[in-house]
Amino acid sequence: MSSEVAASGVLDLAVGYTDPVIALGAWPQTTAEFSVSPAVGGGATLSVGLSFQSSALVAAPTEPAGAGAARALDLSTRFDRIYFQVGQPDVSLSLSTSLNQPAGGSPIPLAGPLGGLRAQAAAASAFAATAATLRTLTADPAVTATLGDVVSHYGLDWPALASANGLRTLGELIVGTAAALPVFAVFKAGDTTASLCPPELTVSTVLADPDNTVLPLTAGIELAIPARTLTPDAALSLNAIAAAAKVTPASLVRANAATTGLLRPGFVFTGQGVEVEVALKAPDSEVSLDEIAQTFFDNGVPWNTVMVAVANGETLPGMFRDGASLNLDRYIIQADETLAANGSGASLTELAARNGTTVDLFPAGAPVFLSAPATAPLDMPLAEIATAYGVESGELLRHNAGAVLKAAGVLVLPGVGVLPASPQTLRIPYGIPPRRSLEAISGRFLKAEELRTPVQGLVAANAALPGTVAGGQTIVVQGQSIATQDGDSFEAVVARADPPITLDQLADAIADEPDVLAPGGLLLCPPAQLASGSGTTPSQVGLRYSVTASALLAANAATPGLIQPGVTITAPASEGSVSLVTAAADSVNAILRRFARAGAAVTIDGLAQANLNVGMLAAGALLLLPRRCAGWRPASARPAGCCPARSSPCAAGSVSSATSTWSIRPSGPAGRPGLGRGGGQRGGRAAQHRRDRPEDRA
Amino acid sequence: MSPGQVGFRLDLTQPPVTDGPSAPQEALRELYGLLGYQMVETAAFAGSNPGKPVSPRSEGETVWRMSRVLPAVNFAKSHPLPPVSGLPAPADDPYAGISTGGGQTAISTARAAVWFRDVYGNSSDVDPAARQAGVRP
Repeated sequence: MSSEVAASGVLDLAVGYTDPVIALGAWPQTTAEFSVSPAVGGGATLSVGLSFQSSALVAAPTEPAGAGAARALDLSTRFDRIYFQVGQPDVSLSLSTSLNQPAGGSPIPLAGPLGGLRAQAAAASAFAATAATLRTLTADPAVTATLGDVVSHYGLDWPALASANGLRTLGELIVGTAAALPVFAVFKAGDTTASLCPPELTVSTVLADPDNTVLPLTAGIELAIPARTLTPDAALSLNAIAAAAKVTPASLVRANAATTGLLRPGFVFTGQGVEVEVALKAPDSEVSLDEIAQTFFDNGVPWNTVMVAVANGETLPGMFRDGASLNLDRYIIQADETLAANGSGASLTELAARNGTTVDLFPAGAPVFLSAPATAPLDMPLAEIATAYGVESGELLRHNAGAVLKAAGVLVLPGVGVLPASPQTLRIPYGIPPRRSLEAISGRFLKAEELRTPVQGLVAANAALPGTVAGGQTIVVQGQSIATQDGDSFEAVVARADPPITLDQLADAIADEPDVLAPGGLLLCPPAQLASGSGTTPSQVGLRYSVTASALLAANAATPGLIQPGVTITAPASEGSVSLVTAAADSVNAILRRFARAGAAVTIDGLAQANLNVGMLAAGALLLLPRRCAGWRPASARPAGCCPARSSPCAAGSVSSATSTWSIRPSGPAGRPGLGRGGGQRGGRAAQHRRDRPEDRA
Repeated sequence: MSPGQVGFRLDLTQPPVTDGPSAPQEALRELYGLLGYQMVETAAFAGSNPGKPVSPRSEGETVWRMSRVLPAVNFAKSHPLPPVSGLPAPADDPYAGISTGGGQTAISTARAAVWFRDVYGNSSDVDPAARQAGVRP
């Protein structure tokens, strides 16, 4: 500061990197892993891999596609920043790891090429930008007339449909002036269904309602069933007979207490020092259990029939004679049984008619559906109705399954997102596999440009992208030989031509060449389109696009039109033998939900692995593709300091722990403001996930 | 400072407040209390038109502070990342201009010319571009 100031001046302002680098561990939806393997000739090879979890960028099963798109847009912004950071020409990458640390010294940084990271950042940025364009799909009354049609056509479940439409009112969704509002009563300990029902309802009707016939019953409680007879093995005890018939001994005794001619002559009942023997010969042998109990009572033992019989329930041989026909009118509920599905042998109607007064028929907390009067408010959002009336919004919709949809574009379909009207302008990443020509690749995607051939369009779309052309090749275009270099773009090859050539001429010249494209390089392509006749199993389609079946399904969990209708798919064996048939317009998200509601916790990976060879994918579907895991190997493939005390190669299992630190920084002179660096954490065995953290601020 | 921005700050002794007539030098300083500026072309950045003059802000009782952040990235001459459909536009690169490319680092410099102005638009100097063209203040 000075009081004497020149009339004007020129300020030189140093520029530099002022924000922290986004370290690998902070890359969204990206996991890094490394592995150490023996190297030929000793030492060890350290490999680092990055993989991108694309499923978080598309809608989850219960949310509208717009929610996933908003998430993708946010991540797209972050990936853009990463893309700009690692793309700068003066940025370098190194890896410091205790795997490459001499005894008593510091880790020796391993330099690595940035190409893989740059391609990964570009791929993630492009995928996120495309995922951000996915739009919410809505029901069309011309296709699905009622709410029930929507659920069955798209394979949805009611809670998911309600969740995605929680802000809509019934009046917006359906035609009519009234809607059903389901009324439930919560079962408490000691309750009976009859005690919960208001007088105007018939108890048997309530029990027979489909809502209640699928409720789990209380295991161990006895159902009342129509009487039937049982001829037991006379050698068995009372208790053994009851257990085999899934009834309590007491119930079995009560059902047969007054029946004569059942007891085995000579059987001796004992109790409190009194013995009562069944007479050996008729007519005295034709006594009933009630009469036996009366005899005990007459001799000073105040037991009822059940007490007398149960006290002798283990006695062998049993108390019943050969050929005795026992009555049976109870059934002990087994685990997971319902009124609709149980081992009692009785029909639903018979059970509903007899169990209105069965105590604790349902476990405490079970919602017993009573009725659905047409009193649902039409002008209140579904979510608010759920709060105000204590009813789940999914149940509300289900009880209006027959209601006709009011208009197109209103009812949101959860978990599916549709690409915009001109998808060919979008770009998704495609990792170039070895020996694949442009002609072979271009046929797997939408055409990039109308006025060019598919190959020309693909080349034009990727003209400036570095690393697409393999180095060391000689390309002949228009009679001119052009040598390629590592990292070349199509544009770079064209620029090297003398006399000049056009991009289209280059594209035509290399269209069928399998070795011109750089394996592992990145192409940005329009959305993929599954062609007919090219295989429809996850395994086949994954192979076609050089991604795993799991990654393919994850990236397309919300893709409509991907799933072939009417195909039986199964859950992994670990989830039991659960299978389902795909719906007319199914999606991966909807399938996962249906498996979950069937009790099978199926992940996308599990779905893919269990159905690898099932023709479940539909031709014509537009696909999003994630880039296959990017591999990276430090410049020193054999860390010099790894296992210095060993003469043998450093085997994977011998590495018990390691600390690694990533560093991405400008390669310029010291003192230059730097991008910063990412720190690592302790790793473990051969393949360990590890994360980095942004550390420095320049 | 956000990526792609450069800034400068100028602290001046605040002209004393007097009840009577100011000394000519102080009156001049008070009158020319605005700071004009523009970016001047360098190897890495193009020049700009003059920006809206900076007003002084009092820092205590004796200091006038004038500061401005310039979006230098908007004037970067080179954008190292390629234009590829589906990827962020090179023009959006907040680091453009920092590196001179070629894999070698050279510290880039942005340059700003500054001068004093009064509220009527009179300048203590013409803008640098005009001076280069031979215009004298």
